Amino acid sequence: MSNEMIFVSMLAIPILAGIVSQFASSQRAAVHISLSGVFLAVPICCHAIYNVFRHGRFFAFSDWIFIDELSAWHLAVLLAVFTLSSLFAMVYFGEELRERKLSIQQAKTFAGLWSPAMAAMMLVLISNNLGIMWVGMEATTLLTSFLVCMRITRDSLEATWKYMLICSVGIGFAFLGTMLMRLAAKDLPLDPNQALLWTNLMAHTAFLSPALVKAAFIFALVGYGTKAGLAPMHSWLPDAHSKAPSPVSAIFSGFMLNTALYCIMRYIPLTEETLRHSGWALRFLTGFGLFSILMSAAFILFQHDIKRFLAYCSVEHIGIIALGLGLGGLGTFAALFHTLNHSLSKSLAFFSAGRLGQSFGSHNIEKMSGSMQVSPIWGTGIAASILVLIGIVPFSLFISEFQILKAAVDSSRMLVVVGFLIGTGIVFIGALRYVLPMAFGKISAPFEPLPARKLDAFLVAAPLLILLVLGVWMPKPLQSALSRAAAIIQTSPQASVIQGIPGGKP
Amino acid sequence: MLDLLIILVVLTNLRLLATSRIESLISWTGVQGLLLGGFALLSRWAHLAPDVVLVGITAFTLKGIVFPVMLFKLTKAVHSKREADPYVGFIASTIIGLLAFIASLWLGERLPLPGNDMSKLVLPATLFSIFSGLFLIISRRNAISQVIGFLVMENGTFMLGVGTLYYAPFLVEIGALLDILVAVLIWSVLIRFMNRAFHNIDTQKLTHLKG
Amino acid sequence: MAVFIHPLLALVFAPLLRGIINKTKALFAGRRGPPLLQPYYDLAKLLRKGAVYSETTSWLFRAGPLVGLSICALCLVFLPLGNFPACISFEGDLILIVYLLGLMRFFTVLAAMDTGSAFEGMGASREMTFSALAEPTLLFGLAAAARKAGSFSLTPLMREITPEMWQSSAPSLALVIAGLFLVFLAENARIPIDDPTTHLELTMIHEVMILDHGGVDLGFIEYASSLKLWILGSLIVGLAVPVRSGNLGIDLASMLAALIGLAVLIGIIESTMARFRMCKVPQLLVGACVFTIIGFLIQ
Repeated sequence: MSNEMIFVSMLAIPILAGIVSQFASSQRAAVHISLSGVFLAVPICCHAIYNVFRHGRFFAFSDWIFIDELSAWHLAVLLAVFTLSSLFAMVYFGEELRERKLSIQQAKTFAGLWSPAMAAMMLVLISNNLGIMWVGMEATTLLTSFLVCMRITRDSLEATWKYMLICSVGIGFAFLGTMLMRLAAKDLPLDPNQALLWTNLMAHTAFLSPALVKAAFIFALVGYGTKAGLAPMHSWLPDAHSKAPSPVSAIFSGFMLNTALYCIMRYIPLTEETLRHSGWALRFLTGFGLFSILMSAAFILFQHDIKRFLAYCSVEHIGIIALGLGLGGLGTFAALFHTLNHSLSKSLAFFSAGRLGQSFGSHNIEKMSGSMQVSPIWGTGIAASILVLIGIVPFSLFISEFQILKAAVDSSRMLVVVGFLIGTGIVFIGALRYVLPMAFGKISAPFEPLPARKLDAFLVAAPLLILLVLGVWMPKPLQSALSRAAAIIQTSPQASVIQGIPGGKP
Repeated sequence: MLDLLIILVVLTNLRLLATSRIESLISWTGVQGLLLGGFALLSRWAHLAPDVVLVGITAFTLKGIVFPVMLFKLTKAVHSKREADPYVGFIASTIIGLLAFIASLWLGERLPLPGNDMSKLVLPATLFSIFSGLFLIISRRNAISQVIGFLVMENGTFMLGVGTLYYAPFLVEIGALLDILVAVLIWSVLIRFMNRAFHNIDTQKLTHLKG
Repeated sequence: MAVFIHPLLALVFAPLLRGIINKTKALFAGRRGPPLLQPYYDLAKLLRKGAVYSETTSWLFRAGPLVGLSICALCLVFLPLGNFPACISFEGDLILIVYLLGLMRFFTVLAAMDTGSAFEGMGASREMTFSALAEPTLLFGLAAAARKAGSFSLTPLMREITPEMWQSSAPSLALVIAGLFLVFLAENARIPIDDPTTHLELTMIHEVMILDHGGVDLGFIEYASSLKLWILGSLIVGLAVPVRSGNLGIDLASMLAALIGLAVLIGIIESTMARFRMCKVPQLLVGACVFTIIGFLIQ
């Protein structure tokens, strides 16, 4: 298959599925058409990812589209999250259909926006042109906004309004950053159509104007950081993630935040190379990351709604990833690893919260106590996922957090270490305060029994198994993939990324 | 000539900061859009190519005509005429706007735009527009005013995109304009939903989700 | 000799500007209106009359009109005529003019408050409020022009404002002129800030302050306000119509023509607009201030 065909079909299949689903005659048909769009795109993406890791990066459409190892890694995480979330959507909406709570209009809204949202996120990942990357990011905001208020209530409208407003302002800043980067490339001996290409900019960083690159980075960091949920631009996140239906929350936390971070990851090496690795850009990332961790820790202590709690948890983990990126070296490797761990565990958490919410009829933590007895599968799901999220050994999330901590200690950033430990410690205590009664407490509210099906068991077991396995063993292909991806961000020649990985070389 | 257009855009921004009537806000945003369309065409008069002309004409129609018409229809649909009580009053807004303009001029000097660009005022005007848009979003309670704040912000970045000789590829600029169009469409629908659910579009009432 | 032409011209022709304004308004309204020389006839009539002074007033009441007239006449000597210098010119005479006008306003207000009437007091307070907004505008506008021309004295300033300067910095000068024009309307109590024809409480600012003056005092006040019209008008005309040919006749003729044009413009504005609501006037003046400040910033 030629490169162009791969990319076109990657994007076209989900979009077509979304369009076709609008003509469906029943809710079930609409949802299934959209989900099949997702599933059909999976093999093509896997093929592309395999090609990249085998043969290196490849281009298409006069270099405007490309995949390198960093894109391929994020694409892999995207596929995992979307596949699991689509399977969960079948379970979740199946239940809604049975209770006759899903109207045809709502199903069509969901179907028409679900797979195109995946296509938009893929567009962000595969574009070499920073402008097209921005267009894709804006498209994800626009496409997912009605997914949040799929069910129109006062709260969901309020959440959607805040989401649209804050994220659009953020995206506006990101556009300014893109324009400034274009201006920074004034001395490049290229025609305008090639000037915004990331590969071109990376190859010619000596020609970029440092002042403009700095300004571009700041605007891009603040702009894309709004979309990623870095504090203090995160205020839309708790509202949107808690009021959206659970499959949508899963892809928000599981992948959309990562997409925004990916955009920032593309700007980091440009800035660092231009400023000759002075660490100027990394300082901002560390600052934002630490601030996100501490801010979310403060808010987590006062939550009553499980999904809102999970949303603040996302803010914390995005902060951890940003912190890892800011530390560099082993931190970058760990940050990329953490994206996978966080996405898997957060998706599982939202699945469980959603399903149990359907059973209890509410997402209030106190009302949801005794989940293990209500449904062993989903009770395990919620308890295990939250425990994983706060960093329980021996899951891989603990490993990635530990690696980031090690990177901070190795570079003697004691303030970072202290802040990180305080933040994660507070989250640990706060989360346990919620999850233990929720999982093991006494049942205090009326509930509907949930059938135990194989699909449910698979949805809970698969992520947990992956996280457990990765926690004790880092397969060589995964390690090399992550190292190559990290090397793209971390272009500094000195820090070697391979040191200090358990299971790898000492 | 380009300087004059940029100054007029800055003046329209100040006018937007100072007014609180919704119709006035929409009309002046439309005027700003027309000015920007003209600016897009005029700034690249020497290098006119079909894609440049297309961007200029699209900006002219979208920002100058389509958006104001859509917003007027929306205003009529939700029966919103006047800003209830802006958080910041007229004279304070004007003074803040003026201070912001001074700050933008100062910043513009710090960040010199490359070589043979067309006007020294492009970057300050851009920064000022972005600030005005943000200020409108923060200081107004009416939802439509906030949409206008967003449009003003995007006008600012558009000015930077077309105001120098080193402009972004055609597809990116058209993509940006279309993105804004879709965003305004989505907002119109959202505001209509909100009006039906809340019976007004005062965003100060949107405080249920807290903490 | 040439330096005395401008002051003499101003002394003679200033009331004519008023006549032109009134005639324009009348023509717009479809009337024939008063003759162009009516202000002169009014002055002559007033100078022949006696005055009645209230017992509550003091020397301030009699000093107000006198100070006003002398200050306006004094300001005339600083005004250049195109390329030709003013009688007296030194660095900072710009600022002196602004402050002299402020001094005149101060005495007018004192004279108004001296009557002890609440009516005049109301007018005085309104006047001070609006002038607090108009004076910075005037100062910034003149400072912007001074910055452009590189000198704080009117004579070199006017000399620098040539058509070439207009070509290179048209936006800045246009903004300054817009701001100064609004100040011109405010200082001379024209619509849309004040209505010079009514004596109703709702619409008065300047008229109410001179309500109690009569006879010679009123004549002085009327004449002084004509001179003030001329002074501010010639500043605007000097900036807006940059005819610097060096030939006295051409410069003179162009300035007169421009002033007459300005008077006609005011007449048109007064005929087509109504006075703004009192709460809108500060907003208008703040807008004018913004114009001049921006004109000052962008060079």
